[in-house]
Amino acid sequence: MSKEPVTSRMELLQGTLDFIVLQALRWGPCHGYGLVQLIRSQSGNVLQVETGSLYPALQRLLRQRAISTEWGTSDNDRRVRMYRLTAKGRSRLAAEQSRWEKLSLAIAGLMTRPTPEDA
Amino acid sequence: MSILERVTAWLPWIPWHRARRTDELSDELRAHLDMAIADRIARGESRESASANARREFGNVSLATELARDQWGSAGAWIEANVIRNLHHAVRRLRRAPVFTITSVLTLTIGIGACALMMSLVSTILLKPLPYKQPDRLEMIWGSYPNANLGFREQPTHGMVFSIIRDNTKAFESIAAFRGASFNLGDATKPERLDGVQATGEFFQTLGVAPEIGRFYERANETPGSDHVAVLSDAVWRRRFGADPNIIGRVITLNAESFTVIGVAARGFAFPRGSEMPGDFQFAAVPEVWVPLKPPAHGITDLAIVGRLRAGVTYLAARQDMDRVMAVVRRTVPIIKNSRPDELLVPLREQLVGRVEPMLVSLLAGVVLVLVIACVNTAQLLLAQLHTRRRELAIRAALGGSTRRLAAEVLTDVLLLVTAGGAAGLAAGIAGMKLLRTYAADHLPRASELTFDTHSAFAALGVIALAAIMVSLIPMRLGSRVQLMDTLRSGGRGAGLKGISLKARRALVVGELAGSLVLVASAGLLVRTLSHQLNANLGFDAVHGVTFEVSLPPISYPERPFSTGMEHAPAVRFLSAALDNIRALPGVTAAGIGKPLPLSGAQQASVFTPEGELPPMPPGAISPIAQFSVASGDMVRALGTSIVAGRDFLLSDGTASPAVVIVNESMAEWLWPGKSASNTAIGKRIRVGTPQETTGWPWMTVIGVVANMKRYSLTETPRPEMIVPYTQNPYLTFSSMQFVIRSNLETSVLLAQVQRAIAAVDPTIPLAHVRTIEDLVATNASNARFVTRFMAGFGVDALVLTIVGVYGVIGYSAQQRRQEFGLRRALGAGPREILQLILGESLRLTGVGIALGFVLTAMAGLAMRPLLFDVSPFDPSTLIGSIVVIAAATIAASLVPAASAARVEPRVALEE
Repeated sequence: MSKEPVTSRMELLQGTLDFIVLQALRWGPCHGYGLVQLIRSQSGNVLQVETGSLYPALQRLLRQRAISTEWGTSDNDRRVRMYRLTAKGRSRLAAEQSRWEKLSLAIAGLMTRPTPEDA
Repeated sequence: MSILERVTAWLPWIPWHRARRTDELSDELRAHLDMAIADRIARGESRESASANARREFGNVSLATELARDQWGSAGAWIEANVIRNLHHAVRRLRRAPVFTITSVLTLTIGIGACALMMSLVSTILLKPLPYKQPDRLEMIWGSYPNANLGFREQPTHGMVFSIIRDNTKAFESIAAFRGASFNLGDATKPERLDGVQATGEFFQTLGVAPEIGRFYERANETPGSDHVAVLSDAVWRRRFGADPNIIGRVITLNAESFTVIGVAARGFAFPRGSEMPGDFQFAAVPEVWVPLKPPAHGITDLAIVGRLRAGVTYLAARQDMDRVMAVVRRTVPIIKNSRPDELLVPLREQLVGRVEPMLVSLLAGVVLVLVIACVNTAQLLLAQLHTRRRELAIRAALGGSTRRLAAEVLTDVLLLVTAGGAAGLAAGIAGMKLLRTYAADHLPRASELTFDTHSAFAALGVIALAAIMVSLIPMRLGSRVQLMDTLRSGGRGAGLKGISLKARRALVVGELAGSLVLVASAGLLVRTLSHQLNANLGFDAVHGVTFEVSLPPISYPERPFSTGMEHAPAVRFLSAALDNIRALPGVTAAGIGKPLPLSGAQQASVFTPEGELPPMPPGAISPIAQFSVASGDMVRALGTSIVAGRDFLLSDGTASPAVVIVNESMAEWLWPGKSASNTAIGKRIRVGTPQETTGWPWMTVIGVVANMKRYSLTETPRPEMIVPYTQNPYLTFSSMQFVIRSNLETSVLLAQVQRAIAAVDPTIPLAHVRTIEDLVATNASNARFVTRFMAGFGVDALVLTIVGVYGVIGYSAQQRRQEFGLRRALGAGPREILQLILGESLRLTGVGIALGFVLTAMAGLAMRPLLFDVSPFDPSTLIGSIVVIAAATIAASLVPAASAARVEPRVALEE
């Protein structure tokens, strides 16, 4: 029985999940369960994607045609839905990336530790 | 993915997609769970704990499914997001600008309504197939005297000629001859006059129509014994017989003879209509009864013929066939041999509507121009509307709003406006259709067929679509060039938008001005044509005259042909007794009878020969031909025309006395040219018949010369004419006769007395077609009045729209230049200079518009030439008048904004 520390898990910012999913699919086609694993391992076990959020996000991205899907087989011959990035998704990813960088810089600026003068 | 799936993939709410994708989603979620369990087992957990932990980690499966499915949206949500919200916003935008909205919708209502109505009318008359079986195969066959200058080409055919054509033609499947006839229905107690048609056996079969009830008659009904059968029109069946379903087999009395009703024609069947047939035939407006006609061997010469071509026979082949048959005619019929008749084939469609085609095409062009002006005006208003929103648009552009979104908005606005205008216009058009049907049915062929049907629906939809395209295209093209960022940078004053928008709006107004000039000038030309027609010298006096018609049934008033013409003593006895009684009435100043009356819609002509030298004739003509009518003495006075030389007919010019004739001035000048042709004419002799016929017709002495009268139309030039005393009429025309009475009594009072006077002679004879002479003249101008009213309406529409357009543009431009005007005021300019600046701008616009319109007007005038009478297409006074009207309207429209700009105070320069 494994008990993961509650503090290590972060609530995802609204809208960032789509970006994270796109980012994860950059490495190649993947199924839903694989995405959960991938995101968790790549974020150093910090980001735990809820299935109740992941599947709506996938459907949303499908509708926006940022990703496409088809039935395939997993490594252990299970019938699974594979998702892959479309051209549109790739360009959206690039746009989000720069937006994300700006935003994280801005937040980093805001979040610097208080200087002694402030105290 | 299949193509269907590909196409519908972006509409995920389509039911079949939804069901399948729900299945797929639950499969997918199950696979997810299985993989999680398998991983946990692989990491060493027991099956039970792995399953429980995985489920806990996964959370609520059905909730996840639900949330995922929410992403697909629903039909309602999709429509909500893409349509309703757009419409909602558009409605809000339009409500915020009520003046713009109401003006645009009214403008479009006028344009679309008028255009839809006119398109329906034109498509009904010109495009809709005639209501007969395979109507393209129907041809009218007319006699023709190519070298006689009669002013009308379609001539009647002799009964013998018809029989030969019917027996010999190879091109026609069936042909039928018909003539107008009038019938007195019923007995002495309640006689009613019916307008009817006598037609040979294959009449209905040729047209290819089916009866409403009963049957139609056939070739067999031409033989005596079975020829007393009648077909009633639907209208008579309903009016006179209360739509009796047992009418078939009933015996009715027509002209004092018994006829058995064998059928009722389908509702709306009315062939031939008077308005659709040429003038030389005595057809009533709408026939009410049809009876069989045996092709007469002699006597009757006033037959019209309709034929149905065999399948696959071309017009040319029919023409050749007719030439072959006519060669037979010329060989075998002695009385025809010398007048060298020909037969003319006219496709039925052309016969029915050819006459009004130029008029309809002109009206259609006019109404389309109105629609274009209406659309241009709306586009112009839309640009102005966009301009007032420029700040909002600029801000939205800055916040990342796309031009596509803006385009969608403009399009939604346009669609709403056009839909509202289209719906209102359609309602107006349908209402107008009812009016038009009653108003135009008498003088426009096929107007009675005008209903709101698929034809009109398509026409209206086409018009609305056209309007939507025209209105949206202009602002869209300009909108895409608008640099919104520039607008924002220039502090919202909108250099970019202003420049393009104002330039475009000026161009649009110039277009409106040009279009208005075309319509106003066209209407002007038609108004002048109409007034020329109404003021044309008729040759007779239309005031205070009443006319009516009586028909004498041949069974009690027989006509017998004899060696030198017809003998009709009983008819002469009736008519002279009736005339005596009427003349004795108090208040009657003159009374006469004759046929055909001038402008009564009919005319007759006859070959004739003068004693001595033949007059100059068109090359190839064998015999002189002139208009022919019969009259009693005093007809000249009753009509209010004048005897130029000699005397009127007297009572002594009777059946047994020497034959006499009155000619008109034109005839006298033709036959006996010289300084005083009219005086020379008196005492000269002419006779009917060709120069080659040396026996048979008696010589008639010219005893009087009468002034030229308009015979058939108000626009005709005088033609030679002879008038013969009705007592000496060599032809058979007594079946009906027209009375003309001039009195100082009220028409209703007079008619009651006249009715009694006639009943005193024979109570079974009813009066029919009672009209005043003024009515006759008015009816003849009805086509000109019809086209003039419409075109004048279009002209007024265009003018109003243009005033709105000019007002908008000048007002806006003045508003834009307020700062400049303030500066000018500050530098010493007076209000007068400012006023001049603005009026100058408006006059420049008008000048360009008029210059452009001038060229178009000249083209329109040329195209309308067939409609004009006594007016040149480039009539200078009409053109100058129209230009003055347009210029005055423009100046009036710009005075208000100009006056307000002139009051601008110098400090405004600093304020804005």
